[in-house]
Amino acid sequence: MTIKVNVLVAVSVAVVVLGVSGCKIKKNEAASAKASGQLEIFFDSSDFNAEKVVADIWTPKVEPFMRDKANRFAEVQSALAKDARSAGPQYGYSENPAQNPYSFIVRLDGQVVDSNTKSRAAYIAVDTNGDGKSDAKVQLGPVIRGTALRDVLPFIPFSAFKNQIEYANVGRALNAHVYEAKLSKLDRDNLVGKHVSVTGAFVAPSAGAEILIAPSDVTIAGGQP
Amino acid sequence: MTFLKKLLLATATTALLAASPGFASAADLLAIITPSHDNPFFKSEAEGAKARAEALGYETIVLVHDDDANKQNELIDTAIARGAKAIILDNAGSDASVAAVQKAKDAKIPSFLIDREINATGIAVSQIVSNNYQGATLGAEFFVEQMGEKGTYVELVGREADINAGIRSKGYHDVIDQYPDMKMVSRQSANWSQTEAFAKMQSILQANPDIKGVISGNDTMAMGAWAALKAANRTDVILVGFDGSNDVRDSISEGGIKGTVLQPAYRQAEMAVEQADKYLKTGSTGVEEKQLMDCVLITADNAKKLETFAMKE
Repeated sequence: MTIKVNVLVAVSVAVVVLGVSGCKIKKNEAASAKASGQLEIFFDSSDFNAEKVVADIWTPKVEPFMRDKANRFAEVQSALAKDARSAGPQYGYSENPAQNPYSFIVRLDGQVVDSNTKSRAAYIAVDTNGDGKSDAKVQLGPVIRGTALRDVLPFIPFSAFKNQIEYANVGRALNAHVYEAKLSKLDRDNLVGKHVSVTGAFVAPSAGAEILIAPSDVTIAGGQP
Repeated sequence: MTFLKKLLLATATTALLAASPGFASAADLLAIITPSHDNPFFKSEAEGAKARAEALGYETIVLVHDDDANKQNELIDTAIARGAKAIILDNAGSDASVAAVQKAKDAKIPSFLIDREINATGIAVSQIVSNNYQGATLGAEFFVEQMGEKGTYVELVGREADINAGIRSKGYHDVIDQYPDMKMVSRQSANWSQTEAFAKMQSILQANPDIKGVISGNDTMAMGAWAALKAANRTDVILVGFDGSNDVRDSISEGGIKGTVLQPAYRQAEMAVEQADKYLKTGSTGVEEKQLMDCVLITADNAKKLETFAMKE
């Protein structure tokens, strides 16, 4: 009996593993380009696995944190427009405000008014207040710019890591994880006009610049598989 | 009270005063040690530290180690011998400098590191460094955008012993390698040097006459590469640097080099001095040892605001 159960478990695990690898989308990293005069001076340490760190905390910590701490986009947007200096501490988080800008967790609903899915850094532009104009760009990857998802999480401080590279790798791993887990599954065709719901993070934009959101979750009405 | 007792008491009080951290004498000395001032980045750093230290009432000695770990070692000895109260250091190598900083600590002289990390914590009091990785990804994202996400390019890397050369290169590649149509045809070190970059760029152009872009690990190499591109009538090549020097700013404003990434060197040096001052007066800086400062992308849109490694408000 016990043996049978174990076999069953083993078989189903194998099926799950096979299933996952079978439908795996092409990973978001090109083979490292070899060229003349190639230098090997990267500082990756093999004993630190950022992907595992992220995989371990994503469901139990990151997702609930993003859900619980998200402010309404319109509220943060208008606070930033009114007084960016005080909007930071009120709605955002910065590990060290003297040296790093504030980042914000928001949730927004709206209509896609523009999209660029030709670029590797694909995005949709979303109108959240019904005036037909874009209020924020939401990144769809596979290339996700910046490290906003990392920077809004107080439980991933720079001081917990040995150096910049490990800290950077965690930022990249968060972006890669959200692409693999969510964004790669979205239907990318004919997005303009569709309704979207987004939870995500952004770094305070410099004056006049657009808001660029790194999502932790995106739902496209009628666009889900 | 006997005379002797009075004298003893007075001596004790004086000793207490001298030892109390709040007591700053005019003779308090800060040693400021950086790489060679030939690179305006390090010059700006040293000037920022010196000006802030003098404004806070310190005397300063400004020394350069020329990226030579042995020389740095001698300069630390000099600082100890001169009785410096603290050392502001942009170090000569992240591994080689650990022992030098430890030596200062053993001599009870706290070190405040700027620009470059060392591979150890608990030895320096502060390590205030630019987020070179974040800056490099900003530069690379802009570079890829300017390239239209495709084409052949060259990377010029800094001095291999310098941790920031590796960090920036990794930041560049972590972005660029995500674009399969971006093709690197050459990757060479020009050791942060303008003349070396000029020579390397000339030979790279001979081997690869049709390159579309160059991404450089710093601005002095970018200036060298730009001179070579100009000489070859290839000012159509997309070039992006790193540091935010006034030279590259001027080139950007003239429509030459496309962009660079500002490291707030001047402010960083000032902050190190402020933290040293607070530490000497209170025994604590009140902040974490390792501190990362974000970099800023400089393009034709904001180049005018850049002046001597700082953005004007």
